[in-house]
Amino acid sequence: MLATRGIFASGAGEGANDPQTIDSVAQSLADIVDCQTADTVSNQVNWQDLVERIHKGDESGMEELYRLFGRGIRYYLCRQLGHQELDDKVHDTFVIVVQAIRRGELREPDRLMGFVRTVVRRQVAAYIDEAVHSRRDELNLDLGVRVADRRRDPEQTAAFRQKVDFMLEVLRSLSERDREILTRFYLDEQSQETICREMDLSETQFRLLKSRAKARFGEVGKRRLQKNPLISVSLRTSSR
Amino acid sequence: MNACFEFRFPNDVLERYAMGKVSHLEYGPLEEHLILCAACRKRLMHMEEFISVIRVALMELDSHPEARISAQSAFAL
Repeated sequence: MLATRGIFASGAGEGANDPQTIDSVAQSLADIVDCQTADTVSNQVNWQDLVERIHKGDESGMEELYRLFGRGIRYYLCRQLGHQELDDKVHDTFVIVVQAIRRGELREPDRLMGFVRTVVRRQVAAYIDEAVHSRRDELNLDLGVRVADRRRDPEQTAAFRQKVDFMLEVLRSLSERDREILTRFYLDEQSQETICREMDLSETQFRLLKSRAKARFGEVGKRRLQKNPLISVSLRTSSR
Repeated sequence: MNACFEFRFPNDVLERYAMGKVSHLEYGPLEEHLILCAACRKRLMHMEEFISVIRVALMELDSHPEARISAQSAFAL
C-alpha cells in the first residue's frame, strides 16, 4: 500500500480539510481507479480474436490495436528518444507489429502485449544505434551523447529553474544528515540497503524521509504558485 | 477489479524504474503495464521530473556548501 501510504502520510492531520489536499487525494484515488481499469481492460481483451482480425487484415483489429497501445507506445518512444519525428516512429512501430502478426510470427496471441513491448524496445535500440553511428560518422562526437532530444525551450527552462529553486528551499530546511541521505540515493545512486545500513536507518525511516521531501516540494510549489499566478500559467504551459 | 485500493506498481518500483534500477523480473510486467496505463505513465512523469529537479538542486548545494546554512531557518520539516 505504498502509494496510498504516501498520500496520507504526507498530509496527515494538518491541512487535511484543505480543499487543495482533498482535490489532490481525490485525484490520486481517481488515478488508482484508472490504473486498476487498465489491468481490467487487459484481462478483458480477447487477444486471440484481436490477433486473428489483424491477421486477416480486418481494419477493426488495427483500430483496436492502436486504441489499446497507441498512447503507451508514443510515451515510451518519446521517453527514450525525444519528440523528434515521433509520429513516424510510432507509425513504424505499428507497421512492424501488424506485419509480424500478418506473417504469423505471433504464435501466442495472449502474449501480444509482451510482443508489442519487445518490438518497441527493438525499435528504440535500432534508433539509438542509428543515431550513434550517424553522429559518429558525421560529427565525430563521443559515444556518450544523449540520443533523446531533451532540450527545453526558454519557457520550460524558466519553469524548471523555478522548480529547482523550490527544491533548494526544501533541501535547505533539512538537516545535514537528511540531505546526505537524499544525496546518497538520488545523486550517488547508492542502494537503499547500503544507505540504511551505513546510516543506521530503518526502511520506514528512509521511505518517510523521501516522501516528506516530495510532499514538502509540492507544498512549497503550491505556496509560491498562489503568491504568483503568473508562474502557474508558465508551469502549466510548460508541462503540456 | 482488484480488491485492494492501490496502484499495481507502488511508487518505489516506479522510482527505481525511473532511475534505471528495476530488476529483470520487474521490467517486463512493469513496461507492459505502462503501455496500457495512463495513470502510471503520469506518475512516472512526475517521478522523473522530481528526480531531475532534486539532482540539480543537490548538485548546486554540493558545489556551494555555504548556501546550505544561509536559509537553514526557513522552516523546519
